[in-house]
Amino acid sequence: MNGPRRLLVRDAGLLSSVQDLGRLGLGALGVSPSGAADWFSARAANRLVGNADGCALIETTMNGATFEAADPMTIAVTGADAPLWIGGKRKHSWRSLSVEAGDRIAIGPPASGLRSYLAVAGGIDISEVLGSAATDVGGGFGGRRLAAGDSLFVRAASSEAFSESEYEPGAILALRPPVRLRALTGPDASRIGSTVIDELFATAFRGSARSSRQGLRLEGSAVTGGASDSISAGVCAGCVQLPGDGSPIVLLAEHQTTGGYPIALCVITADIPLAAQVRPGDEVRFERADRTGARDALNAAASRLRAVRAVASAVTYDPDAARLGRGFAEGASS
Amino acid sequence: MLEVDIKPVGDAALHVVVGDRIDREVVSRVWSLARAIERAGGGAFSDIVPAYASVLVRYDPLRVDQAIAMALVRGAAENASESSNANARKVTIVVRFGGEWGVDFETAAHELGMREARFRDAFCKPDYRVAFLGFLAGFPYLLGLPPALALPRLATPRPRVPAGSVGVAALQCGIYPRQSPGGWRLLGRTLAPLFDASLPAPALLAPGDVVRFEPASSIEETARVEITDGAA
Repeated sequence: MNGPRRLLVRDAGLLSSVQDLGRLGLGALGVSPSGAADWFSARAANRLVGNADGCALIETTMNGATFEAADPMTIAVTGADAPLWIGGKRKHSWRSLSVEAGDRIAIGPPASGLRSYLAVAGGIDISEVLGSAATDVGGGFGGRRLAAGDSLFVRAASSEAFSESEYEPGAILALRPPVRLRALTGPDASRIGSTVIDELFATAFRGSARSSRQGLRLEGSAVTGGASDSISAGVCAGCVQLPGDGSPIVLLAEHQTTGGYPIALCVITADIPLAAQVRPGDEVRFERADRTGARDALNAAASRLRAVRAVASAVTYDPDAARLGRGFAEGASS
Repeated sequence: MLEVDIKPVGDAALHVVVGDRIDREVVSRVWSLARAIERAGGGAFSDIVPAYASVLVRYDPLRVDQAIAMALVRGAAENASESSNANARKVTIVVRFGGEWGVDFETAAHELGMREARFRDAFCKPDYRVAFLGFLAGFPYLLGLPPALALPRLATPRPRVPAGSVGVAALQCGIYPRQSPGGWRLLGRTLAPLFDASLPAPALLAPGDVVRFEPASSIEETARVEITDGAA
């Protein structure tokens, strides 16, 4: 091949950025993990094109985005329920697709959900900062938001003979609102009091337009009371902070490392992808979970992720083969 | 041996609490606990985040059982020492106070009923200690602000605080490593780089460091940082 293959950004939409599974392990320096807000869709997109889970890919937001393949490549789009066009033809998401040189890859405005993931076989080739390709959009490092005219290099794919693959409809995220986020009570729940916690579980919230990769802000029905701020402590994605104004914030991938608002609930790991897909105005409810339920839900998500299957009669395609059956826990740097 | 209270934070993290106030004694237990957890954790923990009075420990729930994570933390707490950090590094940071370098300096002095020079000297007098880094990459939460200098945070945060700003809020003191929104009172500014992602050790400061502020005699001086290794 002559030189590396390239993917061009034609319209970055509201916010598009390069992400992976984040730069975990640097919380003590105040460095946010960042990474894909919806870990399920990001991993699924990478698996569809034969990549390791932690390969760099593109996350788009809200109103879609348009890219152009400067060279032939295999891609997959997952995440929000958004229309997809390749070279002007309508295509399926949650499925690997061959793209010819010059083809436009257009992700349209989603019918439901907020963020789409575009993975390319081989992965986006971008220099890592502190061990990760993730863009810390708010923190201002590890790259920046993508803009029209940007040209991204694509690494050589590990296998040229990759067969077409897809997820069956039952395996993908169900994003139509009302969104139900299963949650455990948080470390400050007893200080906040069971009345307020019960109210949180009984309230129909709405996603706020002030949400970001840092956190999903909920509004529409403020919870009364709450508790005074805590001594600042470490936080993680899924933590539901309850500020004094009674409007909860569900922390997402790009959360700050520490926070002082009391943590009322914690969305279970399996449902963080759903929280990342809430759009402004979507109805959101918290549903009480327990430890076993959280574990079962995560195991179920992991098996849905493994259920990538060959399309049509592709030969000897084994979803549990080493390449795709890699540890779920695999971090950004494989 | 440290007394700890371990609370689950969802299905993938634990809060390990060692106290319920912000002071030197509690935070030095945090430093010692965080080190012990790092030693004991092996590969079990994906992140260890110390703060004023607790350590957050993250784990991958598909690989590590909560009970095992808790047992590892409990074991670490048993082996952690009460005291630590006898050989702290000393870092001198040169700051230019007031005017456009610290837009709240003059009003803060006025509110405290102090002359500006006296306020500056009172602020620079104590040894500060880095409790932990948080909020922004490399942002140090410093302990040691004299209670006589405590001021409430701004009612409305500023959309843009310049990089290097030294701010105070109640008894807290910190330095903004980069431009960001912020509600702390801004007294002055340093040009010292507090966080540089391209360096092997990206953060200038680490928990336990002793920080001294020195008023700048010239603008060039504000980029000066002096680090004395405590082991020396």
